Amino acid sequence: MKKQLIYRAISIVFMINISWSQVTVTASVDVNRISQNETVGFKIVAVNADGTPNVDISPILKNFKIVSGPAQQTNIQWVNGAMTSSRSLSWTLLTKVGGRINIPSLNVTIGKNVYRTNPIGIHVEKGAGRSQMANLFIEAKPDKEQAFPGEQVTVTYRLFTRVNLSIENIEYPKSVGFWNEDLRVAQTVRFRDTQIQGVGYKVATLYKAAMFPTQTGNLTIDPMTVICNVEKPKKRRPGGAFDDPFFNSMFRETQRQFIQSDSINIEVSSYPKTPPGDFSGAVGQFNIETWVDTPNVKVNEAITFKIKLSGTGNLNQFNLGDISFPQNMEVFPPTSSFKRDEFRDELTGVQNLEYILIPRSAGNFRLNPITLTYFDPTIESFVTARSKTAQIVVRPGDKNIIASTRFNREDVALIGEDIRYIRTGKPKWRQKGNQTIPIWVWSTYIVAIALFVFPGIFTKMKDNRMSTSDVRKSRGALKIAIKYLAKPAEDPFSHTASVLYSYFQSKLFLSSENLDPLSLEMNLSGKISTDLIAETVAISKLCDAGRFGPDAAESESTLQSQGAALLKKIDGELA
Amino acid sequence: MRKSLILMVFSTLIFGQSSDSLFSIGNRFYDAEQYTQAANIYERLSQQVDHEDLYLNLGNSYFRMGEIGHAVWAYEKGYALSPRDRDINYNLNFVRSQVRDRIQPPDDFFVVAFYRAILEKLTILDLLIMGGLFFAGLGGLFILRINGSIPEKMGGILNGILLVSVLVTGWIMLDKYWDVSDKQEGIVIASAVDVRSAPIARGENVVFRIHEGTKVDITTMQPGWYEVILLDGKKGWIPAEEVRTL
Repeated sequence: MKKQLIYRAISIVFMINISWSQVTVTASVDVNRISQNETVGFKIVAVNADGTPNVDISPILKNFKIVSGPAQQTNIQWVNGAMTSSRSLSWTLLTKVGGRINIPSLNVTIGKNVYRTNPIGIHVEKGAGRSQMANLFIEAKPDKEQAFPGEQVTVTYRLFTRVNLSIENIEYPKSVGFWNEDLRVAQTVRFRDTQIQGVGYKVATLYKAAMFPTQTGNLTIDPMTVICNVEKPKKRRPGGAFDDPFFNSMFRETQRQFIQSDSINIEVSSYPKTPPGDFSGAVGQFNIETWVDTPNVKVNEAITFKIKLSGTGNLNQFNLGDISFPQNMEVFPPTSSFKRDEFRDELTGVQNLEYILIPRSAGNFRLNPITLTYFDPTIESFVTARSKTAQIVVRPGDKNIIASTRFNREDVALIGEDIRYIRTGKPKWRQKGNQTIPIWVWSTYIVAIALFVFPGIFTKMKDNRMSTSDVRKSRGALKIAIKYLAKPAEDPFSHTASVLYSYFQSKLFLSSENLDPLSLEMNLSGKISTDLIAETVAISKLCDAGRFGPDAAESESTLQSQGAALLKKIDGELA
Repeated sequence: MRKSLILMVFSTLIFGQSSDSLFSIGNRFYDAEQYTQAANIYERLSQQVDHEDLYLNLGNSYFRMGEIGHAVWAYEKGYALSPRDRDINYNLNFVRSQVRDRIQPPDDFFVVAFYRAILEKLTILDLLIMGGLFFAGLGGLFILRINGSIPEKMGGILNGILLVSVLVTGWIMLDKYWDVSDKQEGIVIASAVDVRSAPIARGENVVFRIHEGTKVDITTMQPGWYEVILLDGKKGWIPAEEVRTL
């Protein structure tokens, strides 16, 4: 019970404590009424905050530009034993628009709690700024307010001043929808005298830019901001010891000031005609020339092919299309150079491309003209510039060098390794555990064995066939012999001899050579009667002796019939 | 439980279907990246019929499932059926490269290595065909020589060459046959297996350790245990269920 009471007391003390240290967040500005080129100090103060305030500043970026900040500050005060701490964040803001504008309510996060600041109204005097600040302003002047995509808009930023100043920093304009090329950036600011409505000013060109719109519509070029230190007009101190121009110049007091130009609106309209197919975005006036350095070369000698693109316009923003060179001509990547004419406000210059060509075969080649289609804003239509055709005569070279540099063969690079895909065809299934050997495999063995067994049969068959043919021959031998002997012959002796011998060959299966009466006698002995042998030998001897023999004359007419009669007798006995 | 259910469904589904349609169902599962189902079908099919394509597909399915051991097993089966099939060779080598154990077989004399390569790359059927052709050639030559339509000297040389070819082919064939019929090989399917000095599971008798996908020669089979020998000669006992025999 007692304990509980104590807890309660403690908690009450804490509650009081909390109510004492309540957090308050306030926002404030240092001045509510400004002219357009003046800055405004914006401060958020958090009292009794136990952590650093975290501010979401994004809502004010619509109408303001942050020049500097946030700067942090912490104050701790003890008043009558009570502590008050305050943390503050401060910014320096520059207005983007004129009139009555609000710094909206902002979310401030401290620890886990979110607080909202109070909105603050500010009156920005537009236009009056210049007359009030007529001492110092920037003029932004485009050369045209309407343009086509790709057409150059030259914007000049000039600083007019009636006071002494030094430039601390220049923030160059950034613009969405434009391709920006600096024409002139002031390294040192050089002033010259001029007069506006009878008032003397010093004027200096700070920046000159070529802006090429890349899209159509109403485009805005953001203002340029210059931070400068302006010399404060000095209050004359009457009769001071240091009232001296020298000291005055030594101890000049300056004030930091932000000046901003107006933003510029450019209306970009689309082309009056639909662009042709080969239009690559070139706008301006251009000219193309091409030439080769040596139009007459040998094979494998290098030629330089030069392209000169000159003119005024968005030179860096388009490419010449692909140039087709004849086949059999090796082309090396071109070298490119660009030279700008510095002394003109329009982007003018010369772009040079140099191709090295090496003809690999002889012949007459024609390099096709190079064309460039561009939009000429002065006449508001599309124009095509065209170079001349270049002719190259390539004579055969001294040596035939095979061009091998066209491809570098490369191995097929393995990117990832994986197994190969499954088979999806219909396999010829084999029954499991039943490894059959195809018949044709067996049959080779059977054929082989057959071939070994076969020779016996083969030779027997051959012998048989040979013998039958001989028998047939021997049977017909007599018939043929008589037929031949019946024919009258020029030389009956040799005719009869040859018929006799061929008869015996067929009949007795004798070899064809070396038949003479003696061998005939030997072969016939025992096969026919000795009388017949003697008769045969006699006739054959008679034939051998021929017409020059002793009995030639009387036997010449009867020899053939004699032979025929003898053969009939022999055949009868042989059979 | 789920696996067995799927198997049951499939066994009823595929009962009585032809090998071709089963095979194409498996292929469709594979294409649908349902590798487990595809492998089930291929496994079923492989119990009835034999073909190298079947084992290639089975190996691919197992590889996709991450079962390196089974994948090697399937490719080895396909390789035995068709040792010169390029896809099987490629996949087998690819999967082998993912096997953890690197076993260096002893360097053979080049003649021995060549002989081994022949033995490996030719099936018994190939050898039978080769032998048959040599034999038939010898027979043809015999006829030509008897007939005298080939010069005596050339005939003699040819005869010698063919005779040697027939004998060598016959020898290789026999060797291959013995190899195939006697040798029992297996693939490790468990991710890591302790090889023991005896068929007893005891802590102190672990000799070495092999991993999934390694091929072993099985020298002795006991209930529940295989005695295995590695390519480099290491020997020991492993539980039978961790090896799938080829």
